[in-house]
Amino acid sequence: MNIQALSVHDYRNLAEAELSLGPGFTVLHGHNGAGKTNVLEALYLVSTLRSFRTSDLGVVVRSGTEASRVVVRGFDAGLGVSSTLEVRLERRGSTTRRVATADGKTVRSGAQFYGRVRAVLFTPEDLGVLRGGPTGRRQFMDRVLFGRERGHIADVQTYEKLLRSRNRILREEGLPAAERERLLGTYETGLAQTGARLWTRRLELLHELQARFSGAFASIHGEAGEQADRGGAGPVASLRYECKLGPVSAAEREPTLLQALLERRALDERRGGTSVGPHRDDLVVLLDDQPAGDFASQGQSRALVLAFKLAEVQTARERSADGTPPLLLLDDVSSELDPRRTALLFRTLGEHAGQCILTTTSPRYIDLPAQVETRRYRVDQGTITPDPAIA
Amino acid sequence: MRLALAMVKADPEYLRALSEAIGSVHAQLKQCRVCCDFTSDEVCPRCADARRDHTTICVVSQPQDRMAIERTGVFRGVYHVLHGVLDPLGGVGPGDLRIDALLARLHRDPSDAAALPGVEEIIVATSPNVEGDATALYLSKLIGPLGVRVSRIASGVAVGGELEYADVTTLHRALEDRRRL
Ligand SMILES: Nc1ncnc2c1ncn2[C@@H]1O[C@H](COP(=O)(O)OP(=O)(O)O)[C@@H](O)[C@H]1O
Ligand SMILES: [Mg+2]
Ligand SMILES: [Zn+2]
Repeated sequence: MNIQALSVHDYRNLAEAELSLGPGFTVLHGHNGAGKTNVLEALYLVSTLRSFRTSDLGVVVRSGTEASRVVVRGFDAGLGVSSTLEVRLERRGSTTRRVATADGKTVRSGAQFYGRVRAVLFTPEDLGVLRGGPTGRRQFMDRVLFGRERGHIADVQTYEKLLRSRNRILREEGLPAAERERLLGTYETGLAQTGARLWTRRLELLHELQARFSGAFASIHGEAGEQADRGGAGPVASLRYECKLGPVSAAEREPTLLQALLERRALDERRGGTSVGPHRDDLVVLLDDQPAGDFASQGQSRALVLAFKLAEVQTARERSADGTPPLLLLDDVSSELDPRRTALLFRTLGEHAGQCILTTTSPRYIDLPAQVETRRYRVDQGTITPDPAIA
Repeated sequence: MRLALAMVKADPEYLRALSEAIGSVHAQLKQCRVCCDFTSDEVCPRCADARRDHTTICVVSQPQDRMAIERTGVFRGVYHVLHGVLDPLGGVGPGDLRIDALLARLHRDPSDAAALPGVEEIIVATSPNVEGDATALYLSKLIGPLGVRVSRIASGVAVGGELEYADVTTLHRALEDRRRL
């Protein structure tokens, strides 16, 4: 969907904020803590019904108020109509209710809502993902999939619930053996079904990004002038999905996972948790066939993540049924990258031909191609005002 | 929810009378000795009805779901109400559901000539969410080995949705498209 306007009510520090978006770039600038990331988070909420910063949606409701509302108006090229999407979060004690409406009608299942606004998010935290733990990399892959596959969010939630259920039964004492067997079998069947789907989607994602990722890394590398150090040819970057169960054909994934769960019951009981499945897999980024996480420099590992994101943007547009490029949400990117990589990023953004919202502490960092329409806003203590003055 | 809202607005005298009435209805409600559905008799009208097909049991999690299915008018068998779904995270295990009573219905005494015909099929009609699916699967693991066919209603019901709110046509189709577990 092409977004024309965003309005945010009582979301984090944004009491009332209105923003109109053009077809190209929108730059939000302001001090740290002004509320810039909150705007991106609100847009991401309309895209995925989730936050990228917290799993407890209650914390995003503005302090002292009980409900948040985010409204997006735009033109849905797929449906050929103007459309208004709204997400309301209502805090009730310790729980928070999510209500999504499309053109005034309540949307009962998330699957009907996901995909109306497809967003690609890039935050400074992403840059550390290669050097951090596997949890961050699994989330990194799943977040990409949330924007691509309607069923992925529901499957991740189902999988997590099944996993906690199996672990609970493993730890339960005094269950008769036959009963325990039946209960474990019940949850393992579900885990194998949903787990195989998660596994397959992540493999397909990496497979699809592979070539563009290698290409993007090569150009970033060349751009950064590091090629000369290595006598011309830079290292080749590639992606690998790491799973204890090894490469398994699509049809064999579910039975293989089921078998592994069965075989590991005793081990898992001792450990008090499930030791196999997509919640234990990892994304491995290779440089010349060596896992980059172990030895890549800080600059290299950032360049690798940037290459991944650029590949994601390219494939997202190709995948969209009506050719609409995804909405890019770029948070604080320039503060974390060196000038040459930033320049490459902006050049790629210029080719993006879609809507892109960037945040920065200083508009100086933002050097966007002049031919693309750019709107600028100033964010200050939760209020947003148009700022045409800065060129 | 709508009822609760209406009650907030109602006058206190009316509310007191209403709550007494609800209390006395509740006291009269017993669970059917056979299917555990709420009833005012020992055995509910459906279990007592010899014209129904007693070889097929539709298992539901709550009495409201039994009513929803009964409204479709297509199901001619009998029911069993579990009064809950499996939910280890919420502390609900098989022992907390009316599963023993269901098993008891499957064991027929062959020497008793007056007994109803044996059960041939169990259709599990729990909601299509994690708990409902697990309950159905658990029952198939428990009952399948006893030689009784176990099937699950198709999820014509919105996935992740609640059975009680499914409309009649959707439920109708879901029952007919049931698949073997
Ligand atoms: N629920 C909330 N209610 C009110 N203010 C909040 C809430 N959650 C976060 N904030 C405020 O939002 C601000 C951070 O906004 P953020 O968008 O992260 O800033 P930045 O402009 O640096 O990206 C902080 O001042 C924080 O106190
Ligand atoms: Mg920020
Ligand atoms: Zn009965």
